[in-house]
Amino acid sequence: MGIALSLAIYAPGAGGVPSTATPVMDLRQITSYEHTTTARTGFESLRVGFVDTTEGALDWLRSGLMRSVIAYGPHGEIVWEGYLAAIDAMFGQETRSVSLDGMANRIRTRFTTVNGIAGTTTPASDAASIALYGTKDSVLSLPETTSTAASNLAATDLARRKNPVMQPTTEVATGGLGGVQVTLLFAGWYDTLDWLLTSNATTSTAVTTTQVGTLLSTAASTNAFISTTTTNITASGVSDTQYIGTDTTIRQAIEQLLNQGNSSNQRFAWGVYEHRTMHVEQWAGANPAVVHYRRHLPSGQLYDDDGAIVHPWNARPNRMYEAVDLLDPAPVSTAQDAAARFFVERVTCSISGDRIGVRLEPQTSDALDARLARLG
Amino acid sequence: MASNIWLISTIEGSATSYYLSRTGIGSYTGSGTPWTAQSTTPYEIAMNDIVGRWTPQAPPSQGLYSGGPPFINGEHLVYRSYGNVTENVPIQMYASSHDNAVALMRQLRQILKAALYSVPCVLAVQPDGSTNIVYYNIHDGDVQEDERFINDEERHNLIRARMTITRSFTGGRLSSGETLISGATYANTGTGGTDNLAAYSAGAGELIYEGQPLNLDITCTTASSSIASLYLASVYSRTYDASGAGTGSTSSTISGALVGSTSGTSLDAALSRQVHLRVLGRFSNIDVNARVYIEVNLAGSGRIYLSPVIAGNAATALLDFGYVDLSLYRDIPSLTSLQIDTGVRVLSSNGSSASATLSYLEFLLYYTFCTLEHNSGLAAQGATLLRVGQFTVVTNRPCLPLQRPIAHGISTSTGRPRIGVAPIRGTPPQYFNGASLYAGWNRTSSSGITGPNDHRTTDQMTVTATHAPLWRTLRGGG
Repeated sequence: MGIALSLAIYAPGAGGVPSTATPVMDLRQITSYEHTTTARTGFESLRVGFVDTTEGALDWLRSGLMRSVIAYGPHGEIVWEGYLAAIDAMFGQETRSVSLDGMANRIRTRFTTVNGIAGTTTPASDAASIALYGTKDSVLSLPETTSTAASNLAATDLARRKNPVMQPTTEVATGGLGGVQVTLLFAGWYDTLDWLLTSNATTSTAVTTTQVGTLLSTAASTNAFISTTTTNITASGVSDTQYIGTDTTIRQAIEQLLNQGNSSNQRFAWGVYEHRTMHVEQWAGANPAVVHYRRHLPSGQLYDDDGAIVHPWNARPNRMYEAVDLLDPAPVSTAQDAAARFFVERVTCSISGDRIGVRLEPQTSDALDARLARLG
Repeated sequence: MASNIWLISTIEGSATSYYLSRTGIGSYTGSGTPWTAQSTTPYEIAMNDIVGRWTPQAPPSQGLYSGGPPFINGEHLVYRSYGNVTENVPIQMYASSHDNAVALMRQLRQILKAALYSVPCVLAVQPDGSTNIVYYNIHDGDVQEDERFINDEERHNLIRARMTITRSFTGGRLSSGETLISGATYANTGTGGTDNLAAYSAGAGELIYEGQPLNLDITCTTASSSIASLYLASVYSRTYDASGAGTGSTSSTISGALVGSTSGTSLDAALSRQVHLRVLGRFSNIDVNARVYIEVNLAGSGRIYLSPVIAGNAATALLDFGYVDLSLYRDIPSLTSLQIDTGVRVLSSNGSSASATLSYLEFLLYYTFCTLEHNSGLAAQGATLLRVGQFTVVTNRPCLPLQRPIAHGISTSTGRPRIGVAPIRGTPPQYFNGASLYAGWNRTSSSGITGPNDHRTTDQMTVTATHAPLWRTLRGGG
């Protein structure tokens, strides 16, 4: 019996809303698997590869975007959850890629007239694209123009970007052609908080984590992707103005609030996890002596603080990790990172035919890798 | 008598046998089908010191090891699975002419490559003296004649060749599985004369300690609404404990109030076998704003497991609190006893009073566990047969594992499948020697309460479990 890791793929509901009403497949015959999870996004990226038929690969290219995935471990636990953001299909030396990255289906233009008067056009949107994928905002800018011209720009850009664009590459070369390979690139639902723009002229203050809950509701009122429950959001005890500048993405607004930390001056760890719920809690580095994961150098496995094995696919960020054999003889109790232990900012689980493992990364190596994760 | 080794092909509709081992001196004259009998077949597997001797090869074991040098001597096996078998079979073909000999070779090539476009060719092996036959799927194959046919042995009308096949990692029975549970009645409770557990009959095969695939046919017999969530497990044991029944309530969103607890649950069996602990809780009431979780402690000692918090949304529910890894305790030297105490606690989700009432806990020491869920219902009473499939059941084809398990509702009136059954979450039941099949389920919504959490101890279902014994090479009497 192999590792019963399964990917339940579902067709999206109207507006791209994730739904379990229409299972597409239970994808188990994959040849490679890699997922990442971070302490500032939750489930971040998932990449799976498999061999397919030409017809099967074409189906993914035609209909695959916005399909939702729930990855389950051998014991039925949710390992990762997200949506299909990009597909690469290789047909020998021909490659076809399609992605939601450049797509936008609600576009407005901020412009200034020749007299310096600022304005914003009514958003141009495409109902068919929104019905498929949900709403994805974009803002253009145009100086020294007219309202009509600015509107025209938005409409023109919409026509170009309302649907995902196929990116083909062709190589005609000697050597083996290879077969039909499909790579699916999923993104975590947290990523969709970058899809919507918001603003708020209110300047009165409110608790930052309460504002996060409000922002989740705002996002869900347009794209019902992420749960609006705030049960897993720990109150910050810190207040800030509710003002949000124009053309701020909901993700930017949330992160600006959460980056302030809590009333104990400790940073937060946050992200969208199982059942598409937002979790916000004080980071584990606030109590670095409380160790969650351990390994012994002679062993290639990870253990929790009860001594139980932590399977690679179940490892999570926002944990303190310690290599027992590297324990500092006189550790600084308040230091998160030391020779033996560090705060886990990001986790990468990878499974292939000859290797199963998890990489734990500390908090200094997140930004660039997080952006590269989706690009592969 | 020569061992029976032959190919079975259904590429033309009906099954045709191509005997590769012979008892007579057969030759192909260009007409008839002499290959269908061992006494007349023109094929012969070569078994001599010059070209070699053939016997089915065991599948390559692909183990993944952890640890090792330079930190410690020896690596530790963590995962293992098997790959396909590719083997070379020396074969000779006898005919009355060059063209007829080539026709024999062409025929083999055609049927060996049928897997992608028709049905796989089957390799059947029954050594002389063996009671039973073992059957393998051939995924791919080819035949390469050696150079003597067109050179120093030209016009001898004898092809010496090498048949290369890539076949299934194990062999199995043909056409049908082995019944291990036959129409057993399951009640949706862990106590009483009829309960939620049935032992597998003793099964054949070599992988009985590693897990062999099962097909399950499940019919919901008494329920006013469909099965919406179904827990299935192959277990070493199931312990039912109602001693912790009770009610707890709180308005706290942080500190859980005790609902009930059990003590001294024995897990001794986990010290000597690779089983995991799963705790399920049956609640007769969970307020809409209540959330429950469990805390598992070593008996009289500290905590070893804190479950996720689960929101109940119905009056009754059977909830899965997740699995508990026990591998640490198997490593403790000389440990002979393992007992746990389990506490069930309730939280409020909104600061208002929330209560939950526990009926009982079930402790599974399990090999495999899975959940099927579908809000629209997996199987309606009497109208739908829920089939969980893990191996092929097709006439004249080996019973071997599917590429992935399937769960489907089948209409009992039309025999046709429904669409939209949920994926299997976890590992579907496998046959392990001495194990039992556990089933627990919740109905679809009732009384206007949404969600698949409506558990009735009076509900019943019938279950039939068939299994596919697997053999790595020969079957013998198994």
